[in-house]
Amino acid sequence: MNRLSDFYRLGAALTDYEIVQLEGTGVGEEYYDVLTSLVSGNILDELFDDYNNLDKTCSGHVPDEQIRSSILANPKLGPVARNIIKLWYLSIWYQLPENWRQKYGIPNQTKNKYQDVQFIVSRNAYIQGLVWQATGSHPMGAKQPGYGTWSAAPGNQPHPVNFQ
Amino acid sequence: MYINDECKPIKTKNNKLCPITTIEELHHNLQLAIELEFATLPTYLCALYTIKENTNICAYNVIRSVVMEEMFHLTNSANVLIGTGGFPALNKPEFIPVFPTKLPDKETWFTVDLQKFSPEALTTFKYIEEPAEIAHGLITIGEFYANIEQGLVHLNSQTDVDLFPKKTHPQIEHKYYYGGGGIISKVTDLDSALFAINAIIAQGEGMPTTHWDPDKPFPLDETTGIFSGDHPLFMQPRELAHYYRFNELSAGKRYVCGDTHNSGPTGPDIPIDYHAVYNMKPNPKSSDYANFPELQQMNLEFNRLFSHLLNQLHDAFNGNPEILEPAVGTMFKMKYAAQELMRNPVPDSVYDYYAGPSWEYLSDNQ
Repeated sequence: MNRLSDFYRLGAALTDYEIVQLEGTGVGEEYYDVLTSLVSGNILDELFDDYNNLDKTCSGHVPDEQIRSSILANPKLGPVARNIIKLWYLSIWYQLPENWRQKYGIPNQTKNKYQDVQFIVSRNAYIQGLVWQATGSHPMGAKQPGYGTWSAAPGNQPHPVNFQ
Repeated sequence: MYINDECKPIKTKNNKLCPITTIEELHHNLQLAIELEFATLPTYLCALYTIKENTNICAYNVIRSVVMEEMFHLTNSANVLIGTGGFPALNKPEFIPVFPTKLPDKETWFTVDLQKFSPEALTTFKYIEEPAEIAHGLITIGEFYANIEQGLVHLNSQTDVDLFPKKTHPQIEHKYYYGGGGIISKVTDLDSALFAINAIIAQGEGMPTTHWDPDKPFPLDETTGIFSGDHPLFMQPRELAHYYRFNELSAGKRYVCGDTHNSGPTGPDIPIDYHAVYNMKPNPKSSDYANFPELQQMNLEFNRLFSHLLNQLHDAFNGNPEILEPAVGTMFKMKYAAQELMRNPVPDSVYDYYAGPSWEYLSDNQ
């Protein structure tokens, strides 16, 4: 099983964006790299497998409640899933909770790579955070929207597209 | 770019452009000019947007600079059309060529594709921008514009023609047009019309010269035809004409003092990484996404933005120039929509292709 595509599938469920929109940010692999550096493979396997099983049981339409009770409420998987949501929306890795780190944290992090502390994933990832389009805004200093566009209401699209 | 006998919208005889003798012919040629300028944009933009973030900085800036100038040419042509009492038409499906296209010539050796940034793309770009002096026996776009200039001069000398009528739609003026490749000016008489057309020729093909010598070094002598006309026209920094800007990229070297057309660029290397590019499928079509509803939806979203842009530009050129301002916002949205598509692999693609926009005009009910 391709774990990167699992990462996109779970990400789509957690963020309520489509997989193509997540791939469209161009930084999914960077996020995946961060995640796999800071969370042990066993835990990620469990997380992805749990979601894939839910997806199978629910024939591709996992209700939000199921994700909440099975994943987000799980003391081991929940904090990781929440960090994945924050990665996609904010492009920031947040340090995992103290009690989680005591129990599941991996001490042998690669030197000079990523550490489990709060950081912005990269200068490009910052631009690609979903939060900007979700709020009808744009990242400060990048993805300029054109002179005077600030006078139009957020989300004022000519033909709003409704992704299923 | 060349025009030949098969290029139906323009009248030619014995591989020469027929002189423009009526106002209708002038308007027809100017409308075609708008279409020609626009038709280069999908090609350039596809290459531009497939460049991965923070890579190929020089190539990105060069292609972008040419795109900006093509839009400036389009606007100049539109102003001359409006100033002579005509009506630019941009809101129709025929305004956009179907790629791959013969654009606008019908030569079999020269087809314009939508493709990723690559040596092949640069070869096409150079064909598009080839200067008149090296296009032996073919009618170039430079000559097409020169023919328009002669038409303007001729019609202006006719006492029974009101070439620059008082009551026309408002033109695009500087206040609506920012940061875009040149300074836009209003067309009110023969001089201002010739200035606008000459700016197109000068930027695209280099300053036209009567005794062009491909072995003459530059920039010791500025009339070698390699430099664009930006410096004397707009007091902008000196830039190379489009052909030579693209030739620097395809050679991966800069022109330096003493280089000639025939020597090519011999200066410092330009760092180019053709691997840091999304592998967009050439000439993307909506049908490529028939089995992938999410990609289909994304492409549709792009086409909606694109169609909205053409409607906005049409309105801006037909009475409401202030619409150009939100239209620029639409251009940015299109850019981001195109890039999102290009970062998506097409599932099950044998060649590991990525998606790309299909550049189609949708009428209102689509």
